[in-house]
Amino acid sequence: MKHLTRIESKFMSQNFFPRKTHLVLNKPILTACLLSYCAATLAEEQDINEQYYLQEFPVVLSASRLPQPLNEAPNAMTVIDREMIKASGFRTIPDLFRLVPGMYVSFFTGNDPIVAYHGTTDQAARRMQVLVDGRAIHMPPMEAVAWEDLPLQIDDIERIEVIRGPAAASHGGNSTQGVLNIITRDAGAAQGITAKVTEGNAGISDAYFNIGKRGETLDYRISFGYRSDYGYDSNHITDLAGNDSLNNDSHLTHLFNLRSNYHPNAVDSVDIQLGYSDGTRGDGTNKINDPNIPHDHHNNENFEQISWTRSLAGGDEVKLQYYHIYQSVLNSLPANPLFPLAPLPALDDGYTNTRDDLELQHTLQTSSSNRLVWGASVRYDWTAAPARFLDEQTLQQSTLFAHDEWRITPQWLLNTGAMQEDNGMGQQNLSPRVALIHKFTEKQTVRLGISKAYRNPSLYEERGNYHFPAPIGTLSQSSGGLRPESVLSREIGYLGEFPELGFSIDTRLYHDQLSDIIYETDPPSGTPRDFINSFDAEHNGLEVTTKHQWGDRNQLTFNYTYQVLSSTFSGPADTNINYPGTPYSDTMPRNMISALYSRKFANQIAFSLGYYQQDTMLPIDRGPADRQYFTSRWDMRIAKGFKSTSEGTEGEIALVVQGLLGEHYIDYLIENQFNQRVYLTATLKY
Amino acid sequence: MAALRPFLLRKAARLLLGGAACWLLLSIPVARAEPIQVSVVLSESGGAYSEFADALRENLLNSNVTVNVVDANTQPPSSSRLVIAVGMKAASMVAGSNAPAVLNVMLPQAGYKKLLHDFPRRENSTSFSSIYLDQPVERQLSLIAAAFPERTRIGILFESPPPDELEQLRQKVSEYGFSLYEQEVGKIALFESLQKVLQHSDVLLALPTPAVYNSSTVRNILLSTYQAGIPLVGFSSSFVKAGAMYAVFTSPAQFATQTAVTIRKYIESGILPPAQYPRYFEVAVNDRVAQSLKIDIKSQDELVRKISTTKRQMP
Repeated sequence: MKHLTRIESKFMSQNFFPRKTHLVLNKPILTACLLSYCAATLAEEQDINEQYYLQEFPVVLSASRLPQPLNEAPNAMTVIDREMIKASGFRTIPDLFRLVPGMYVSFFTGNDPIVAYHGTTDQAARRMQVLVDGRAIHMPPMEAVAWEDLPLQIDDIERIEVIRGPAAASHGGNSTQGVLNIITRDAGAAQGITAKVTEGNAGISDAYFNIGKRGETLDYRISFGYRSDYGYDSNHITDLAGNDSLNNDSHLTHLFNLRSNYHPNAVDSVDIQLGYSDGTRGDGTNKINDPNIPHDHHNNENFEQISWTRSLAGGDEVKLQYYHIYQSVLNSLPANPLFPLAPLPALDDGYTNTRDDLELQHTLQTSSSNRLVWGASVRYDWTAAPARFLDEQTLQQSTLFAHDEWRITPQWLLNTGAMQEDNGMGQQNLSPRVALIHKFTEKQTVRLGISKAYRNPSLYEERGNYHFPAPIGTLSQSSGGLRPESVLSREIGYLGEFPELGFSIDTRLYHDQLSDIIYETDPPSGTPRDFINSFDAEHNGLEVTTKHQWGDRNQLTFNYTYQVLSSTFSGPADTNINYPGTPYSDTMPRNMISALYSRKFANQIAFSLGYYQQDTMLPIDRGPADRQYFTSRWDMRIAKGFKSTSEGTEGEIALVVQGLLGEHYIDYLIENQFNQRVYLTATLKY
Repeated sequence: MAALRPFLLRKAARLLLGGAACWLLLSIPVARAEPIQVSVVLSESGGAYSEFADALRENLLNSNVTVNVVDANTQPPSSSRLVIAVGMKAASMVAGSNAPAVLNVMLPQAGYKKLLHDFPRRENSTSFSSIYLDQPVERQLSLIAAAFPERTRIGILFESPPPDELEQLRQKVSEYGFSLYEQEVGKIALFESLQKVLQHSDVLLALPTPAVYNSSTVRNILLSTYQAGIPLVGFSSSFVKAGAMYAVFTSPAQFATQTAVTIRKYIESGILPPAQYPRYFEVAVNDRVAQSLKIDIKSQDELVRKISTTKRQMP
């Protein structure tokens, strides 16, 4: 009966102010009328009748928002979620990729990480698509990822989906060997204030603050902080030639990241993101005859991203997204009159890049068994790098893509898709993908996939001219006319879940044919280098991920990779080139293992152990001194959580040891000698 | 083969005889009585209303009942022995008319109470009744028990005055071994209330309260519950499509089946049964959300079976 009183009183309020009064142009009355009219409309909505039960709600947790189930994805996929991120103890984003089978993580310098999948790995690893909330961050002129400058902290990440294999149809250009798809936390995901401070040896000092609020129509989270360390602290290395080498690779990066979401009604959502990073990076060595003397350079990056999503009936969705990325590196070397060969003038190796990208994507459920995603994008890249090009460079690219998921029967799923792109360098590429998935039981799946994808030459490879005043001169001069690299990938995957045993397995066997790999020539001293389509390669391998769960609180993820690489020279006969002169097959470790075990104890104590192992290898563009021998490393994390008696306040103290057994190994260059790192993290949330 | 033939013949003969007997039985009342006219008044055309009307016609195909469908702006013919009012609008119109017998279907229990309040002469009548749109709380609790055997803390958001369901829930939860965490919205803002509930419960049960769950709040509620890793049990299949994990609901076709049975009984006895909850129901499941939250899902059929057979567990 109480309920009825409420309905009646609200009906009365509606009658009290008839709509006619809106004509009276008396401001206070008008406001009152509008308010009461709103209240009346609301009351009508709130009136209990069958419409309330029969109404259509907008689809909130749509397929594009939820992670795709691994056994329905058209490619092999590894998902790194927040729980794994925490258990790993890692403090930087690139390190997380150690938890992906087949992924190589290393460092060109302590402040220049390398993440690559399946080889052809060099300083500017650039054969993967890397997305942060749909924003492509492999930037011109090298198409490499400036990981350290990315205005995003590890705590802002919701999950990372790593697609192993070409996926241009669904993830856009450059998805040649795989896709790193970083998904940051929703604007409203973190309520309240979080403060986190990390201090450790090797100059490790990080801070992270986050303020978040979920509101009725506006959500936001703002994070800021800094990350710093001394890089490879083994500062003095004697190389094979007996030269003393100083590692100047410390860094301090300030980071800011904002994500806000405005959702004025049930169907529209506008996501706005801003990011800013600013950092000082140590650079240079004291190697004899190296003009790159120890100095600092200054990196700055910012981005602005806005995307508007409209939910349509039946879970369909239209998304329009625009973003702008700005990168600048101030890299000036003072004049060096004492340089052994000849006095050096002041050198400038700075550059500025921008990217503007507009994309439209339409997801539609064409029938109960078929879902289609299609869209188009245009991109404009600009680079000013006086030492690397003769003039400013621009590149305009466009793509058209479609990806279809057809549930032929509950047991059979067919994924087909393609992307057509204009690479802005006079070439059109079509990258198709087909994957057939058969669920032969509810928990066991076999996937057959074939796909082709292209990597376009980077601006630097196609048009670069790396030059300095005398006595250095021109180091590299691109003759241009490069063909895009391509990969044809075939794979067979099996996924099995055995919940009664607390066990699941995800394996794939692949055979990738890579063609026209672009590589730098190695001409006699004094002649500039060039980039040419120089060799073809074949990659074959097996990747296995198993997950185990036992007892109440034990979890283990285990990754194993076996890979065999081979190559054949396909460039012009008269070219000087290192590859395949030295065995290409040696450029990736044959066997790799990574494992993460975690256990939670009842009294808010968490323990985790990571293990990372790789066979001997020699990175693609390195000399014999830089050989990475068999390495293994144990990482450990112990954490104790606290909960305050006052509601919502909690904290945690965690100790992380990287290289628990004092392991010592080389990362990419002999100068990069890994030493044990120990740090303590304190987190407070309220 | 030869041995089988006489058997088949015997079977065919028996079928023929049986068929003839049925035909006789069915045709006798037809021959004796005039066709009985039942009017169906729909609050709106299309959608669930038409689905109900079509299914009801189908259910009454081989009977002496003729179904006459009109909209809520049209008075049903006075020759109607029984009027089926579908939805609130139709129910209000029919209750105020001279219709001698009315069965109100697909309206919430609260709506039916309002109807009796507005038309007191219809109260305590054996020719005025209802099949509610909402589900009994026992059914909701059985669903939670069957779907999440390890989750025992049920969170509830409500707005004052509390809906009737809440009082019923309070009485029943302990019988199922559950505890209830209630939070009144209005004392503090909806999203703060939600955060509080999510901290103290393992599953959020959405009671049909338009002030709390409506198309403009459902986005934040679903996102928050998802991020907290807490499943939401909704009250309609559309809610599940939007992102709730489960809902128990009755489809228009199931309402039609129960209505057809009630019509036949009314024709036999001349009285309508007391107002009641729907007898038949379905369970909607959002597999994708369940998978993302790493919650093992049970099939719809299994859940319906379990809910139908659940004996109340005494603590």
